[in-house]
Amino acid sequence: MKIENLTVRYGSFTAVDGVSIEVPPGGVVGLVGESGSGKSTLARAVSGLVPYEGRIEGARRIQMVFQDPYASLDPRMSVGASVAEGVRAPRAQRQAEVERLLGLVSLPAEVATRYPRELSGGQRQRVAIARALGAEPDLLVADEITSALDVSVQGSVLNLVKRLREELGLSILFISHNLAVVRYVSDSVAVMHGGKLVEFGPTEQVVDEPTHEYTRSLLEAVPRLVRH
Amino acid sequence: MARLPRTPPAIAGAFIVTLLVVLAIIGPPLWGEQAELINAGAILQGASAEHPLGTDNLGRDLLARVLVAGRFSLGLALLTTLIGAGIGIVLGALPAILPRRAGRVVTSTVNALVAFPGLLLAMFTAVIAGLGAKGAVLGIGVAIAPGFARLTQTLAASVAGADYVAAARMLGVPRRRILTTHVLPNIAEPLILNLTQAMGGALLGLAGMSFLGLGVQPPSFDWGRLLFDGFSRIYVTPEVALGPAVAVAVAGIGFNLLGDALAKAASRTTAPTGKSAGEVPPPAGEPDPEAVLEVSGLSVTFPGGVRPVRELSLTVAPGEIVGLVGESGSGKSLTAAAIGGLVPYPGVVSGARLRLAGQDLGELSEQQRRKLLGTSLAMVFQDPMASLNPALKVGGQLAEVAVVHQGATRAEARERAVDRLGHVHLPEPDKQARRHPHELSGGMRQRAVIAMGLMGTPKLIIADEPTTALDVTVQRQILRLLREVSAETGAATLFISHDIAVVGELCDRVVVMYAGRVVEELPVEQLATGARHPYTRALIASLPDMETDRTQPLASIPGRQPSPAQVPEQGCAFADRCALATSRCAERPSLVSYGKAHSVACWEVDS
Amino acid sequence: MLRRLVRFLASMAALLVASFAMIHLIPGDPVRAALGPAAPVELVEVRRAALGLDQPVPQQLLTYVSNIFTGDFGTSFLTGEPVAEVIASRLPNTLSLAVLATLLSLIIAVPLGMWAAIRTENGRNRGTDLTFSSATGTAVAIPEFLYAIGLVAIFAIGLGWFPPAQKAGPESFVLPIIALAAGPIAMIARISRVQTARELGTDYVRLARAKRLPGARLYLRHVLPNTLTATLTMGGLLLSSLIAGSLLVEYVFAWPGLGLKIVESITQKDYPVAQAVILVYGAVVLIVNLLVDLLLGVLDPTSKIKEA
Repeated sequence: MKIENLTVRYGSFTAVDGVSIEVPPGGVVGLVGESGSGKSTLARAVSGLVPYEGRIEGARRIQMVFQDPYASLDPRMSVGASVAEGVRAPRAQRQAEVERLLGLVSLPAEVATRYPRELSGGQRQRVAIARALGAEPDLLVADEITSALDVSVQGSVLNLVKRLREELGLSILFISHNLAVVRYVSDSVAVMHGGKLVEFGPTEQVVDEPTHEYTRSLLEAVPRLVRH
Repeated sequence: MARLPRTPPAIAGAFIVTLLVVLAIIGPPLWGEQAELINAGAILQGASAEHPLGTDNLGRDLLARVLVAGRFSLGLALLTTLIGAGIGIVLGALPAILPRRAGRVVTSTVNALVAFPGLLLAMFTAVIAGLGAKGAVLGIGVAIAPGFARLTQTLAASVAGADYVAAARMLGVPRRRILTTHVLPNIAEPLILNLTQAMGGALLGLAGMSFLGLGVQPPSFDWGRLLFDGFSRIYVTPEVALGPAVAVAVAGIGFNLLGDALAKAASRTTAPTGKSAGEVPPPAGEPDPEAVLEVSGLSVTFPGGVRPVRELSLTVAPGEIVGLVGESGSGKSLTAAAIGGLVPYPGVVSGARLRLAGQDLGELSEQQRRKLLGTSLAMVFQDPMASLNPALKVGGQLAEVAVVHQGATRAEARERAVDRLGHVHLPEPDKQARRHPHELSGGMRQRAVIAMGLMGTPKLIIADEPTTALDVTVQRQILRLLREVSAETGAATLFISHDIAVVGELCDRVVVMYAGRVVEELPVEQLATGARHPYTRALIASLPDMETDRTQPLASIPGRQPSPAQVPEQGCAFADRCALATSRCAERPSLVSYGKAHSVACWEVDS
Repeated sequence: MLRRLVRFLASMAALLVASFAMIHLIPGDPVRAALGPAAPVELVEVRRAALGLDQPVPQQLLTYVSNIFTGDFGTSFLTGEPVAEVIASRLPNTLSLAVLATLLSLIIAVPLGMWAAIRTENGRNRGTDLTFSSATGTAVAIPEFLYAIGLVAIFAIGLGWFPPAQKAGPESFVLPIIALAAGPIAMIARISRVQTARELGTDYVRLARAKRLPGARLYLRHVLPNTLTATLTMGGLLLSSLIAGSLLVEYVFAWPGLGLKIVESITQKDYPVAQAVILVYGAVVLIVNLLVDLLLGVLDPTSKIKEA
């Protein structure tokens, strides 16, 4: 999947300015940036939710998982119905498919009959991922999917992302403001600042030998536990 | 459908509306004949035993006429509401279907009409449609349509912008299906609930038109028409106006009360109710004269026996930066609020001792306590966008602390404010002081809030998630500033955060909370490798940092933290999620010292 | 600001066309309808010509608009008086009622709503909450003409304290103003309460409380200015709705305002008067709304940046 020279404008304001990123098949590209860097706009453009200029090649089915698991599920729809929305299987096989998808994200099949309000944030986020997987995407865009979750839950969702990538060979564009999280899940890292891509390379290289001044200041600002 | 709340107004409203419906059904068959009975011998009478509300110009009984008119009045109101809602919903839905430019025209027309008094629209329509019931129904219907259109527009726009609709679009769900499965069900309920209120409005509007002689014309009659007839006789027999007036008022009140209750039900959040459980505070130990802050046995209780903070003890030494860390729902923010005396009603703080700067808050007079808390305690909250008053200039907000508590003149206070702003490294502090908060960036605002805390002589700064809403690079600057302020002024800091990495970077000592209690307290040097409590260890292991091994899965804790209402009274609250739990954990472990400045509440650790 | 002005001009133009169209939208011949079926054909024709109704429609619109800009609002079918004179003598009576009632409502309702919000913050004092919401819920549901009738029956006819009708001295204002203001007081008190309650929940109020500011300073200096925008908007909407709403009250009190005139003209099918009065009402409402918008722009610091 290739994003080429993608630009998004809102009136006279350019939110994303000529960004090119390549996501190899089965690869995870992490996208970091601070608020206003244009990373979420890029996610929405790639997912076809906002109009853009430029080209996106090599991915026809793109799905996105949103930041807020409380807003991304229809409160009036059962979990099963939400997950089934993207499933293309014939009616008879639909239930089995929903169960399979819930199994993929480690949720028991009984969850299908429940409503979002009965689930925790982490469980909702899993449902949202299962719903996206139902459409058999060739690219999954994950926009800050752990930032609304508690730390103890965040770890298990990150593990899930890594497992899905290994088991399904899923290509993922993983967007976060948290460099440590991005480093943990991604093969390569793209850094955005003020709508522009300032650095893009393999994770180790970006983290250990950043070339851009902004990447360096971002790395320095990451809080770390001092291990004695 | 949301349930109707059981408050007296809601019950009264439901009762009145039911009564009106019954009246509309049984009124005409029961009293219809009597209402039309012409009696030449009894025209234009006042109240009498035979005719409690008097008679009209043909000697017909007015009470019977009022009772019979209910069906017609309500029927017209219902028709009017349906017309108004129909036009309104179509107008409101149009912008979603039309091309963008045409949609914008519809939207701005609706906006212009909403601001236009309904009665004028009704008059205009009535002039065209002609005098009589038809004109009045159309007129009032047109008058209530813009309100419905606006409501439909806002509701549809909020649902259409929801993430779940975006998700459905990406899944390739057809537009029409999105409309029927997501948009309509989510806007139908508030619209239906609004019909009740609109019905009340329509009824009053129609009554008004008939009262002016512009609505229902004889020989038909509704309550408004009866009032029109009665009003002309008000100097002679005022009681003849009473019947229809009461009928209109009661109907209006009934629909309004019920409509209000329904609207509230649609947007209701349940508040905890019940009586508060009396708690006997545990005995307190000897006070520590050195400590800036000393809390022992602090509990925060809400009605129903919900206790988000449980017998918490905490000591902060001068100049020390203590991190209070925990997940959402652990009680860490309420602990901060309790220390600052800001626990929201109906929460009750009970504690054996709360000492600030060597003074026991329980022993001070209200006046002294206000002064002590106002000058010795500084608070910083999470959202710098919300912590400053948008209507007041930054400088004035800082200065008032000095004016109120230190008796400074305005000029002195202002000078001090500018000085403090400079202290937190705001560029051109004099200029910033004259600005409104919205002219400052998030990081600058948080600096201004910290500067506000420095207007007094703070002994303790309580910072509740002060960097959570900020970008990492700004977060770093604010952390640095907090450390600098602490070093310079000697103020201690209680830093509350969900982010154990941030706490690890800033603080000297870390206090970990789980389900309202402290589970571990340790010096920051031991945090990364020396933590003993299984929860602390799991928290640290589940947090990726720049050194985490990427080939290994992150630790995660199964299950979730019990909510304050579910915390077990006996036993360790973490036992359900703990890999090390044994039968012993059915008894709650207390916080036991484990080496220097390190204490842990876990059986597995002491044994 | 410029956009608001453009919107205002567009609304004015639409209003002008709508009031012109009104006569043409009436099914059948308005002149015939006004004069009745017995009127001779010649008279109808003369009247039609006098009104210019025999001209082509675009020509009529042009004449209508240019007449209005020269202050000519037509003449009454019935009395032959120039409508402009009628409006000039009656508009001040209507406006004085509406302005006084708006002021009275704001003065009573805003502090009342604030007081209720402070007393019932976070669900304390459930009794006050219940009393407040029942009382305002009831008061808001009673239409102004019922208040008017009730006041006349009790205080004018029953007790004889105030004149029952007509405009005379200052005492004749009392009952109409109370009748007009009663409902709005309840409504604005509720809005003021919701606004205040929302402000009380914000972080800046928490911070101000952490600073231990005295109550008066907290509520008057910190909370009140932030509720003012909404209150002013409400006041503006209220004034424009009261200008129209006063017509029922004018009818009850036989108040010599525009409202009474419009009711008379509609029942008597005096279309030129009805047309002109609706136009004037609409224009006054639009002007009031524009003034409120402009005032808000000056007062509210945050709306200034939104506009820029």
